[in-house]
Amino acid sequence: MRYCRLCVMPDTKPDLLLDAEGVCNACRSFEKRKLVDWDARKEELLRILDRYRSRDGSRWDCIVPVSGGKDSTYQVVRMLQMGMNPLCVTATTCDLSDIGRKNIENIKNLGVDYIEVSPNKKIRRKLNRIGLSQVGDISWPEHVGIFTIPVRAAVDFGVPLIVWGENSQNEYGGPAVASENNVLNRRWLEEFGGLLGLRVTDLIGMEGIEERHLIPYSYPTDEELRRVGVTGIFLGYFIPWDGYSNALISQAFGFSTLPMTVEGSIVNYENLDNYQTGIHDYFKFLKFGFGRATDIASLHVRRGRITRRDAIELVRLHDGKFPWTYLGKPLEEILAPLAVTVEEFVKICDRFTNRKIFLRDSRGDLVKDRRGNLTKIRYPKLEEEVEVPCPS
Amino acid sequence: MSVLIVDYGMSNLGSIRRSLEECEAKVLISDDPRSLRSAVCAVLPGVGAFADGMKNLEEKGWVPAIREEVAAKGIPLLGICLGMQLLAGVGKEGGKRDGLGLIAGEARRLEPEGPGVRIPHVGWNEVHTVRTSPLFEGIPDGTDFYFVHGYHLVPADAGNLLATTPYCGRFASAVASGSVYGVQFHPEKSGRSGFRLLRNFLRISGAGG
Repeated sequence: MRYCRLCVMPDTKPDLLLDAEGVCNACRSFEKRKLVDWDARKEELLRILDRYRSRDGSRWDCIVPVSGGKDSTYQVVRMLQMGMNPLCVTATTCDLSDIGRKNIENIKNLGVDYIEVSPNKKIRRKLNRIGLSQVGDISWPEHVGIFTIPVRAAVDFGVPLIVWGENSQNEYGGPAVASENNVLNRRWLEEFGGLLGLRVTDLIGMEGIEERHLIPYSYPTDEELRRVGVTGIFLGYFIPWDGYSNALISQAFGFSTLPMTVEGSIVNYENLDNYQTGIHDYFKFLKFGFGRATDIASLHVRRGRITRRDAIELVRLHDGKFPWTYLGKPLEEILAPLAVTVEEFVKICDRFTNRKIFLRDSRGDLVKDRRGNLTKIRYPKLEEEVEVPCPS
Repeated sequence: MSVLIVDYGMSNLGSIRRSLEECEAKVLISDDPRSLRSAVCAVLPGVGAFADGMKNLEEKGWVPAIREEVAAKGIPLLGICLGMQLLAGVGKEGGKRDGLGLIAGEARRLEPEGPGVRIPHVGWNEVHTVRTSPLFEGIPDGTDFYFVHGYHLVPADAGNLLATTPYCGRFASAVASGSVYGVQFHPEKSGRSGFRLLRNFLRISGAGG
């Protein structure tokens, strides 16, 4: 396990590449942001919005998928500033938190039309359990639904433009891919949309799940998309994206944060809307050796808001702790709707743990402290060694 | 002369193109089978089910083109994930269906070897080479690559087996027949080892790297 010399991301993250100088592609891509002509991008965005704006006011101008979080609140604020009349669409999270509900209500008060789509909870619990035990993603249905539900809404309401937030792949893209980096289509969904090799059609027949139960998780057909002319754009392509400034702006528009940092994270302003997120992030730590604290610390290091030295310490303090609670809710209660006990949960965790990156005892068993926490073999260091590249 | 990425509508091609470009290859993404004629080598990516993959390849006219240029003229081809499985003679995902037939064998579902073994196989896992191949040059035996799949190719001829991975028994994680290569993992998501493998493929093909 090696870490980027500039931030604290490890090379066990799929897609992440450390270059000859030991710097990751996310940091390199961030450096390239300076070369982007953001004024031109903004102009381009305004032209696109203009093209899709309803001429006679008979339909909404665009769909904005909203979770109620800091980024979607920011998206709505920006769309209203640009004179759009959006239909905001929420795909309800798998286990909506109280603060998440409060922030959804806040979005409604911004002055927009709003709908919430809540897939069948009985089926969703089954999907949560299948996702957790088969691909290690408890919120698998949410990670699919946040992409499929707004697209279905676009088709059903005849609104062609969908304004997404950030392209999670954006920071890895160079100028060469920029042209296709601002649209979300079926292919993007299949590769980056969080399916993790478990396809929606694979689920039919499991635990009594039928095709008709999976409507919210199915992407519309190409024919339907063509009929409405659905186009998705990523706002993050047109406006430089920064989660922290989005949080500041959103707070000024009524968005609520927690009084303390979220468990396993180092901030209080994101991942507030689903009680299962702590489990999701913990599995990332088990599979790849980094958790939410590493992501957030790296974002702040790149933007010069904390030093790498601080990031190393904060990550050591918060990353990958066993998720006994999330947003204050005990693990046992979070697992109860899935009919999974804490004991069974620990066993599932062990099956997904990449044993090569954690300390083991002489018998080969994972070493855990009294709180069930693992220890990584290698943590980021102040001076990362740079490997001399072998001649290719 | 460029590296052709076969576009048959089954995968987002951005990440594989980006990886090849980082290996300093000249890349062409095309959905026109005629473009194979002028390619120095080709990459067949893929995400999705076998039957859908073959249907799309057939509809876009890729099947005869690939058989002609790759099988007959020896243009190097690298199949990745579903792209590797499509090299098989037969696939059993989404109904039995003929594959490209470039590697004798069958694409089948992974069978868990016991309770608690999860399908699909997702994450980093070891790749052990069973013979030396220029594709794995400079990559130590047992190196981890990144996998996301529920099916695998079972080669009929052990001579086509390049590497295995210890999961669900042991499955073929890399195969080769002449200038046709297939890898079940995603080199474009596997960090520097993945890039090394892509560079090796480009070098084998005379496309740089």
